Order: sequence, then C-alpha cells, then structure tokens
Amino acid sequence: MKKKEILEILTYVFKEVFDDETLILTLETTAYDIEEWDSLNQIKLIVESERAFNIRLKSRDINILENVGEMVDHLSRVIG
Amino acid sequence: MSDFQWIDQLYDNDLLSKPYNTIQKLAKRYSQYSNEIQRPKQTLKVALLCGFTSDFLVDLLPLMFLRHGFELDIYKGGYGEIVSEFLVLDSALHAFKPDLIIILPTHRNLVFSPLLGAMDDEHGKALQGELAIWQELWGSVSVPIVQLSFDPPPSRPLGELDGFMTGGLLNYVRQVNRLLVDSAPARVGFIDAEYIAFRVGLEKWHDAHLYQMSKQPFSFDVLPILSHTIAARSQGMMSRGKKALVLDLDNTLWGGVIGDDGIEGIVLGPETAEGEAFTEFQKYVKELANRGVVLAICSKNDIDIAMQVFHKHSGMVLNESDIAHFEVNFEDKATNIRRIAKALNIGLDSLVFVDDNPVERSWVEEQLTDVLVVNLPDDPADYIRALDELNVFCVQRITNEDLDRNKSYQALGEITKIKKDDNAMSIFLQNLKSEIIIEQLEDSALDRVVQLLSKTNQFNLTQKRYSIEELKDNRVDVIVVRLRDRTQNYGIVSVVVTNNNNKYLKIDNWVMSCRVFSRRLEYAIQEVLIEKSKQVGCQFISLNHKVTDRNGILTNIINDLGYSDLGNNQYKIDIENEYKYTEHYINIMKMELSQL
Repeated sequence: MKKKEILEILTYVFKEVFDDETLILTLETTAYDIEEWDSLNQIKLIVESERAFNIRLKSRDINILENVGEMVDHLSRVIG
Repeated sequence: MSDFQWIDQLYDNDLLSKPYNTIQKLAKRYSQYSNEIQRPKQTLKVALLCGFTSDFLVDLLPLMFLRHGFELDIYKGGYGEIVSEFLVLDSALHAFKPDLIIILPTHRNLVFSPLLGAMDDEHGKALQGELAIWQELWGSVSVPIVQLSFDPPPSRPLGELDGFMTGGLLNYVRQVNRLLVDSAPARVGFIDAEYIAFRVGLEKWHDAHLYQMSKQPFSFDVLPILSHTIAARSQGMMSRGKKALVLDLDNTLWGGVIGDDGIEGIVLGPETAEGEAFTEFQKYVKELANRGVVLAICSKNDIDIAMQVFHKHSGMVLNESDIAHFEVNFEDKATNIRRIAKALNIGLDSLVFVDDNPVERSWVEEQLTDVLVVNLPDDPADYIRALDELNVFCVQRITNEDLDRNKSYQALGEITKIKKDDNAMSIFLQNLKSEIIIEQLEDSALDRVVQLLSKTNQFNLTQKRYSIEELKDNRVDVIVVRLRDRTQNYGIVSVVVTNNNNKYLKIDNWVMSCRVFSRRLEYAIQEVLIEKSKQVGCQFISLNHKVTDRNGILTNIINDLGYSDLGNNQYKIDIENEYKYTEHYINIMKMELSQL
C-alpha cells in the first residue's frame, strides 16, 4: 500500500474519531495540532486504525511516534 | 450545526442496532447542544464506581439516561476504588450526595476466589466472605444501587467443568452472583453481566488487547448495550419504569384484519410460519403480564368481532382475562390511550404503545409525547426482539404475589410439572380456588353427558354406555359435575350414574374428563357420594371396575378413595367405618340437593 493511500485512510479514521469532517491531516500533524487528541482518543485512534487496516498494533510502538508521518511509516511497515 | 439529524435520532428505537461510532457521535451532540432540545424534568445525581476505566462508558451514559427520562449529573469514582469510596466517610462519593449509585465490578474484583482443589467448606467460607464485603458497602448508604453482577472470566482453566465445579472460577462467579442477588436488600437492583456477555459474544466482552491499552476490559461495541441496560435498570430502581403495555390487534397480535378476513382468515397459530410468529409474540406478552406488566388493548375494530378471536380462536395465547382494559372502537388512538391511562389509574408516561401501523404510531407519538411508542419492525418474527431490547419494564424484584398470580394463570401442564412436591401442589390447588357445581341431569346437558360417558377412556369405571332414554329412566340417578376455577370455566367434567337398593348405593358408571386429572376432583366427588348415601339411607357404596388397557389409573384411585377390593371386579366402601376425608381444596356447590 502506498503511503499516500495510507494517509487517505488515516485521514478518514481521524475524521471519525475527532468527529470533524473538515479535519486536514498532513505528515507533519502532531498531537498538539488537534485539540481533542488526548490519551482516550489516542486509544480510539489505535482501535479504529486497526479496524480500517485490518491489523494489530502495539500501544508501546504507537505511543513513541512523533507525528502523523511516523505513524504512516509505521503502518506501512506493519501492513508490509 | 446539523451535519446529521441528531435530535430526531435521540429517541430512535433502533439506536442500539447502530454502530458504536454513530451512538458516540449522537452522545457528543447531546453533550454539546443539550440546550437545543427539551430537557427532562428530573435531574438524577448518579455516582459511578467501576472496576475498570469508565471514561468511554461515561461518554454514552447521559444520552442513555436522557432516553429514560433523566438528565444526568454524574460523579465518577476513581478507577478501582469501589470499596474505599464507600467506606471512607468523607470520601467524594458521600460528599456528592447521589440519588443513585451505580457499581460496575468485574470478576477481577472478587476477593476470595478459591484455588483449584479447594474443599467445599473453604468454598462456602469464600462465598460468605464476598457477601460480607458487599453487605458492608450496601449498608453504608441508603440510596438505591444498580450493580452489575460479576462477569464470566475470559478463560476456563478447568475446561467444561469450570462453570460447575468447586475450584472453577466461572462456577464461583455464578455462585457469588446468586448469593448476592438473594441476599441484597430490595434497593439493590442487579444487571446480569453473564447475559450481556453472551448477548454481545465473549470475544467482545473480553478484549484483552484493549484492556491492556486502556483498562477497559470489553470492546467499544459493548458500550451501547451496557450503557442502555444501566439506564433502564436505573429507571426501574427510581420507580420510573413502564407499567403497562397497550397493544393493537390486527397485524400486531395476529396476522390479517379480523373485520375483513374473519376468524378463519386471520393468521395465528402453529399451522403457518407467520402464525407461529404471532403466537410466540403473544407468549412473550403473556410472560410480561405474568411478571406484573398490565396489558390493555387499543384497536380500531368492532368490539364483538374482535372479541370472537379471544373467545374462539385456538391459536390465541392471551385470554380476555389477561387484558386489564379494552378500548376497541373507531375513535382515534390518542383519545383511547388517554382513556386507558385513566381507567388503569396510571400516568401516560407509564405506557408503552405497540402498533404495526406507522401512521397510528406517529399520531400517538405526536399527540402523547409521554407515551413510549415502539417502532415495530415489519416482520412479526422480530416483534419480540424489538420489545425485549427496550428493556423498559423494569421490576425491582418479582414479588411472591406476582408469582402466585402467575401460577394461577397456568393450566394443567403446570400441575403435572410440580406434582412431585406435595406441598407445592397443595398451595397451587388452593390458589386455583376450584369450585364444583353438582347438578341433576338437565335436558340441556344431555348431549354433553352422553358424549362424556361414551368418549372417556381413561377415567371410566365400566365402559358402560348409555342412550339418552336410559339416562332419563327413573331407575338411575345421574350426578352431573361442572368445574370452574379462577382461570376458566371447564363446563361438565364428570358424570356419576348411580342407583340404590337396600343398604347399597351402587355406582353404575363414573367418568371424568382427562383435562381435569390431578386436581383431587375425585376426592370432592367422593365426598358428594358419601353425603348422598347418607341421605338415601345407604351404608355402603359399591362399584364395579373392569380394567382395560386404558383405564389403569383407576385402580390406584379406587384404592385411595378407600374402597376395598372384594375380588371379581367388585369394590365397596363402608361409609361409616372405612371412609376418610382427604383435603381437596375444592368448594362444593350443590344445586337442588334434595332431589339428588
């Protein structure tokens, strides 16, 4: 799967979790850019991403990611 | 704002079938824009104490409580601090002064789970230990409590025996639950965790991955049904549960329109798949009635035509006596429902309305906003699910009185079941309040009497048959027995043909319908026969009993009634010296006794 596609799916996931149709996700987006991105929504992001990509993620791997770009890289590795 | 019609969805009956995300968004809309809707009159202060992370659950609770008529003011206890919140007197819980406390433990909160190999006495001590903790907690507050029972654990080290054997955790969970439910004061209402777990599936109830990340032990998909059940149970504990069910008739209790299709044309009963669905729905409704839900009918029909179905259709499960009030006429349903509420002396907000017709539903919904209108699915096979899922008829506890009433509604099937326990049987028979009416032979009863004498196979002493002429002959006396009880009138159920000569009252034949076996009717009739003997100056009653391959039950009965076997199929009883009264709980009414 191309990173562009991953970002597209991830954008959909973020829109769902943060309930914001206007949300724009870039590779540079961080938790500071989205007001509601707290630890609870972090869990929802993981669960929804797992569902969207049909994979299993480890919270330890996710929690060290700095921004959406690193998330896309990580997903790309897990999906293979 | 309105990216979707959230206000319309707030009270949607199908909400629980929607995905978690949809419901969560709706809950969010409600929290953001609650000033845009009509707020409930009552605010409920609820303290929530959980054995797990409750943040995601708390997201949904205000929405679910709104749907049950409450605005929620919630205090969330610290994670894993159930016991200390209760027992520390100046805890935030007590300072909050809740109207209701919700406790959601999991099997992880069990304190004394016995290890494999525990003996029965250790097991018993462990159970008592768990109970002691909870009694302490319940006793430290005086408000109503809604408590989730302990849930089934995710794994079963003892395999199939885990749920049944001392040392198995599932077994322990089940036993603790039973003990707590049986011992708790009435203000503690339980939610059955095992039921919710098997409803959502164990793989959703236990989401180890999510538990590891968030300390919420179940998947997000569990949250809608769990939060809904909590709100429904809370409503019940605050005595705001629904009390009565108002039912339409055509296409609701049976398929088709009685006014057009007639009694033969409507679809009801086991002969067809659709008819079976309506029968099943009626059974479910009857069970609601048995546990204390009041039933009323609201239908646009001619009352006489509609009642024919109740009286004559073999597929009907509901009897006329199950229904507390009928409004069957052609007036509008909102008016009729108001009348029902008045007749039953309960508020409109205690009513649930079930009708297949969407036009009627929206009319009632518009006119009577307090009435809960069930959004009935198209397929009658789904009616039960639609109603059951609402879970609105919350009872705090099913009372003994409810159960007695329940018993009285059940006929012979139930009698055979509990026959093994004599004491239960006596109570049951007393509750039936049976009454027999003893008559002489009237012309109007002739056909039925001849039929009973010729068609009865099991309780039939001699198999002797009679023509109408023979029965009307003065040489025989015919005793006709009718039976009624609080459930129904059975009509003529037994006939005794006698004649007397010298000191003997001779029973020429005695038959009894098999519908009324096991009700001690034979003892009541024997009492009548004894009295009759005395009146006509006989000292003995004699009978002749020919055993056939079908009337074998009579041998024991004749013996139990006190007759001695004289051999040669002859039996007799000395009414002074051999007769012993047996309690039969049947009231005997005699018509024109002098002529008997």
